[in-house]
Amino acid sequence: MDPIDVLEKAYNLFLVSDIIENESDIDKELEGLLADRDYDNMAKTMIYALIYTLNNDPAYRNIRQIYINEAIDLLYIIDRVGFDDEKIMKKFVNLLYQFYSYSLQYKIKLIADKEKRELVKAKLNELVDIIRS
Amino acid sequence: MDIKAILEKTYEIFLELGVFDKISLVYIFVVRGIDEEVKNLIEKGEYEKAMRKIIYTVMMNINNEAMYEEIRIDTMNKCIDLLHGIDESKIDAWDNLEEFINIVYSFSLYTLENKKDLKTNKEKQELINTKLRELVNIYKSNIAWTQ
Repeated sequence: MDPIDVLEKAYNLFLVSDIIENESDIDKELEGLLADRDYDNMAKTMIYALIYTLNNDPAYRNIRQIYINEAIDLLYIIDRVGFDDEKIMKKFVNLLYQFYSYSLQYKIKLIADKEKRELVKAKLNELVDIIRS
Repeated sequence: MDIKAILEKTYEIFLELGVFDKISLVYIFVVRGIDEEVKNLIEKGEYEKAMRKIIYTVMMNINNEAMYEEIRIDTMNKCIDLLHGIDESKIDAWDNLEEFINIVYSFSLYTLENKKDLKTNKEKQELINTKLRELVNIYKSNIAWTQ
């Protein structure tokens, strides 16, 4: 499993869905980290954005607790062994999969916009395919 | 700036508050108490790792304990910003250290005022208050040092 592949697909998903809340230029930051092949910091930055969204957006009230726990767990493990490890990448993909599946059902932005919805589904499949293969 | 003193004091306060007990990280690799880990990291001089683990401890507590609901959103956002700040610059950058103390102090005070077993234990309350004052003193002497 290639970490760049995982992160690139995760980043694409992040861009097309446009549901992760952030105050700063996180897109640019992620783009830079991807170009630098800085796996750990890129994965961590995406996890921070995910926690931020789960914590602040009431649409995620029902899943907030469990997914934030998983996200913190993942940060902890990345600190310990780095992102470039199959178990960790699977855990990362799994967390994103759950988050986006939920978003497709409960996020009005994705429910209302059919085109966007299909695009997110397609990108999500591409991401999940990496761990299936 | 005395990072070690700040981390040691935080460790002592968290032990007395009993907030390490609430941590239930599903470690894939090692299952061990996070308090022991923080202690060892401080002893070994691995301050950044120790600091990150203390922040995770705060995040885990506010995410899982209902008593923190009132401060959850704000504190969690601050923790994420701080983690991001630590990734981007050195942990001994004054802004990061100041924010760390800020989070630890307000989280500890809130815990002290709202946790049932602490509210009724006067002796422990005094002990924790003393340690919190000591943390503030370290902070004050660091401000003097930076000016």
